[in-house]
Amino acid sequence: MQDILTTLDQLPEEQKSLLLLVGVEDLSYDDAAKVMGVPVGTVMSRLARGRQKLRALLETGRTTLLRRVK
Amino acid sequence: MTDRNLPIGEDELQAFVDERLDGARRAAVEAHLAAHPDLAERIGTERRQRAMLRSRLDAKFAEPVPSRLRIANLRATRRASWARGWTSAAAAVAIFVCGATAGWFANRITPASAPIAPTASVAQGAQAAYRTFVVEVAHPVEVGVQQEAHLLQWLSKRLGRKLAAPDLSPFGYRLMGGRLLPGGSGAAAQLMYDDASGRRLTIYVRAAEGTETAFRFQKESEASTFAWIDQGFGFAVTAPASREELLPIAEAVYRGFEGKS
Repeated sequence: MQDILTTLDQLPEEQKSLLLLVGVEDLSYDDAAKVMGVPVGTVMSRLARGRQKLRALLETGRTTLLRRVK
Repeated sequence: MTDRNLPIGEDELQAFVDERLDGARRAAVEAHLAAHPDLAERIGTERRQRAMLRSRLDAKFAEPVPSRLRIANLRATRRASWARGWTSAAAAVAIFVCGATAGWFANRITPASAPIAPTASVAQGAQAAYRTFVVEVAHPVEVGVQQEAHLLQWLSKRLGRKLAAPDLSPFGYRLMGGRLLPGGSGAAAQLMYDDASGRRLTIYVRAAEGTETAFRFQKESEASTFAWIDQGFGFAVTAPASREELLPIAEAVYRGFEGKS
């Protein structure tokens, strides 16, 4: 079983921050752009890449930590 | 509606994931997804993962967490120093949340400098697990007390030993839940209890060699541990308590497990 928070931690810093600021904290895209000091377009593409990466990591299980050792 | 005829771009899909589209555009995206099942599946997954993140972190913030980590205070920090403060606050949340797990694994790979007695090894494992998980606010236990029967059945199966949760209510501790951990060459189980003041106590069990039954006492910063070995299993009780406070609890746990293997 993958832990989504552990997996999130493996994303690049700017993608991880955006997934938290926008996805969890409900910052507007404009505000997120101001906070990160980048154009809104960059926010959107980082958000898309971050979500794509999170999904891929969770699906392939490449990040499995040995939580359950046999 | 002319809106419906505009092409759907990635930005709009992200806004859909974030539930930020108004009625017309949302309907347009929904129609587009209905016609593209592969895309619909991908977007559905991203929506679920967003919801998972929210619920995991919401649960975390619903707990009585240290004030520096509370959202209201993070927002205050953001007002104080808009640009850097907030980004690093979000990063700090992620690091705080994920660090505990990483710390646990870092701990496990530290090589032991010399062979140590089985009880000492059990005590060390118990203390490492205690240090790691007792400070956890988001998910101190992997399976909560609401699913106690499932928890005990699962841990029993993985340990290869019937595990019951000792009743520590005479000492003011009630079961919160438990988790499975790497321990020695196999699995270890940790049961976590807390009392009315929020003090946490753990019982740690794993396979261990030896037949000795003497209690071994070990104190490390705040946390005291009594560990012992009984019929191929090591047990440890850890809490922020004095030796005198902890001993009767350890004895009760020992009696609770004795002869139940």
